[in-house]
Amino acid sequence: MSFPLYRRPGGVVFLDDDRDYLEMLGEVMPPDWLVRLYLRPVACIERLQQDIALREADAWAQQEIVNRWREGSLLIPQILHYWRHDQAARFSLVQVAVVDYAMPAMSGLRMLAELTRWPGARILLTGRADEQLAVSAFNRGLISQFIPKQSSDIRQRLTHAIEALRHHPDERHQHIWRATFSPRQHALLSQPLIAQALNGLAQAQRWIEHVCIGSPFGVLALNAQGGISWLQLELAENLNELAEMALSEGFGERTANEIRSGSQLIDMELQLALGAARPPEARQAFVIAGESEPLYAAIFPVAESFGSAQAASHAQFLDSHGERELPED
Amino acid sequence: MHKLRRAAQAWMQRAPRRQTLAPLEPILHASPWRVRLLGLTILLGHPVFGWIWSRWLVQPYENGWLRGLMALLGAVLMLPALGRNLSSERTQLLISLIIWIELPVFFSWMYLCNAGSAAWLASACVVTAFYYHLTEWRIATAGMVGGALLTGALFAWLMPADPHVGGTVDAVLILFSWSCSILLGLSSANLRREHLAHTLTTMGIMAHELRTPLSTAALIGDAIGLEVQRQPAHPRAAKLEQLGQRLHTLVRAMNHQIDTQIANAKLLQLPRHTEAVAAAALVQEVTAAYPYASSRQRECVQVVILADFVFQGSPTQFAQLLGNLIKNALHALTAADSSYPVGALRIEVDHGRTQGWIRVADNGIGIAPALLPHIFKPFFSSRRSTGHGLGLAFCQQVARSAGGSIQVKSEHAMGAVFMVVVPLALADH
Repeated sequence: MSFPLYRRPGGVVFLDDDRDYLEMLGEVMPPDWLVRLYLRPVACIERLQQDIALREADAWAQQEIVNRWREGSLLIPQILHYWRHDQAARFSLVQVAVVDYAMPAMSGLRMLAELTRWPGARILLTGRADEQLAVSAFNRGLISQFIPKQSSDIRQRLTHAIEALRHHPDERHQHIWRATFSPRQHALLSQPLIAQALNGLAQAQRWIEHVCIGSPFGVLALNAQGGISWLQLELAENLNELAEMALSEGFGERTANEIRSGSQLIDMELQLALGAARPPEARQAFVIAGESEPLYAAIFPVAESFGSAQAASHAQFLDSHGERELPED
Repeated sequence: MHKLRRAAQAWMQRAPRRQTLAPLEPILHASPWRVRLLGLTILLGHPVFGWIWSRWLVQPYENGWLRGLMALLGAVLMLPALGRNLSSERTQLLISLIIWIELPVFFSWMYLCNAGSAAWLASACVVTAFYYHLTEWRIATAGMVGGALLTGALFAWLMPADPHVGGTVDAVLILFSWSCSILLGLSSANLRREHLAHTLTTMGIMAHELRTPLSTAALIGDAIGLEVQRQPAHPRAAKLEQLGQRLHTLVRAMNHQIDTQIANAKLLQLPRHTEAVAAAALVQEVTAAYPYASSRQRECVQVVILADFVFQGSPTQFAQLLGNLIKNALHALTAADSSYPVGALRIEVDHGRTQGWIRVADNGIGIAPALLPHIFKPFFSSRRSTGHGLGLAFCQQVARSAGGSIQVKSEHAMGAVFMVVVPLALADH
């Protein structure tokens, strides 16, 4: 398990020609998912074709951030600007398509075959007789998974499968953000122990979207309500330098010592990136143990004024766009 | 040598599938009235034609005593006791015998005795076609050959003086009508088979069509459960939860029922896929997943693994087979008003040197001895209103497809024991 450099919740699209079944699927999927229901393959294909273009634009916006960083712009303010500017449009990108195999107009596999350029995950719902077909589709890489429609625990199986795929990091995003790391930072993040600890942290802090960057080293994250946090990561060898900075910023010798021992961190770089709106603050630090060396970490809140706050939070987005309407027939 | 034996064994294992023989039907479209009408026709026909051929359009040979005997034999068919019991093997044998004597035997005798007169040549030809209409072509063909041989021998013995032997024209005509009859018989057999296949396919499609609404019902159960989780403090939450569960149980039971129907509908076209199946694991899996009506039912099932074994077969089909046997056993227990003591349904796995067996024994109502010979026939059911009668036919087909068999021992009110016997999988070299 690795720690994804960029992760965000994606929408889920269901396509099934049976109205009642589709409606009930929408009913039982977790309420914190963006779910779109489609009765007709054509409408669904259209939606996912649009999705390709939207994803392209979104990935390009991220790439631009890194490009400008190479030319000297700071990452954090750019990312915050990107989120603010985007409002919540990125949450409507579709991450998983769940498609029924047996449909009158077009089989689910044919429908998926028309979407070769769409990069999201695909789940095929099969009848009992279609299993062989699904296995071969799986082997050909046309689908990520298939689930028999009539299995008695269909809700749980679907929920688990989608949950795993919904947060599946986009390869392209990983590629973009990897460029901001030093080889050493990247090696550390690839260590299983550290990756596991960071994933656990993301879950405990209820981050729904995050980006991990190398300069400064840390994770900028959003929760469902739009609150922003900065997880600052420090290598042991940098603690002395950070302590010196703390002293020059007017912190006492005691704080400096605690920084040297790794029990406190100050958010120098964050405040610098945010335009030094307020002086740095010291926070309780904790150790993330790695295979070779530990990482020191502390979580700092980012003032609401820098984010798009409540109005464009994921929760708000679901409230205004989360209605699971059945399409007109 | 060893290789040859292996090949022969493998061939034998597949052999039953190459030619699935339809069960013999001694009386086609058997109904009491049809048999009675046949009896009446014979009873009245003999005196009438006896009079015609001896008084009005006189033929060389006629025999009043023989006519009387034949009419009486025909009258036997009108006995009410016969009509009541058409499915019993003895009745079927008796009727087949009477028809055989009345048609091929009597008519070829009369043809020979009349020295091949035009009237009797035509009659013999028509009766051949009629015989194939009354009974199945396989039985009819055997009856025709047997009847010709018997009357030929009798004729040579009793009427040695008669010089006349039917000419070549007669032989060609008889052969022509006979082959036409065989052809018609075959085509009607084919029609019956097609009809059966069609019925089974329709059942399969119907079962399949029911699945999606059922899955929707299961999701509704889920939705109710989720609603309860959202409002756990609601005073009726527990009741709602329970209702949701009930819906789930119901859907599971119906899905199981549909599985059975579909598997049975594939009776005539079992897929040929086989793999190594471990008997103990199979039994445990099926007994665990079976949708019991109550926890008492679940607890009465006792699985005893005396010795596990591996055989070649289709795991899904054998799971279905076991499911069918369990279903029948539980039904027999319910019918016997059982209190479901532990071990009321006992499943044993054991093997010998070359064969393995799975024994399903119940203390239920048992099977009446008269019904035993029929339980493996398609569409036979002792539960006229509830069973569709395909379960055991399917089971037998599955067992045969693995080169095995099903044996049954039962006495009325003493429970039943079904034993699935299959050859052990050959160890790989």
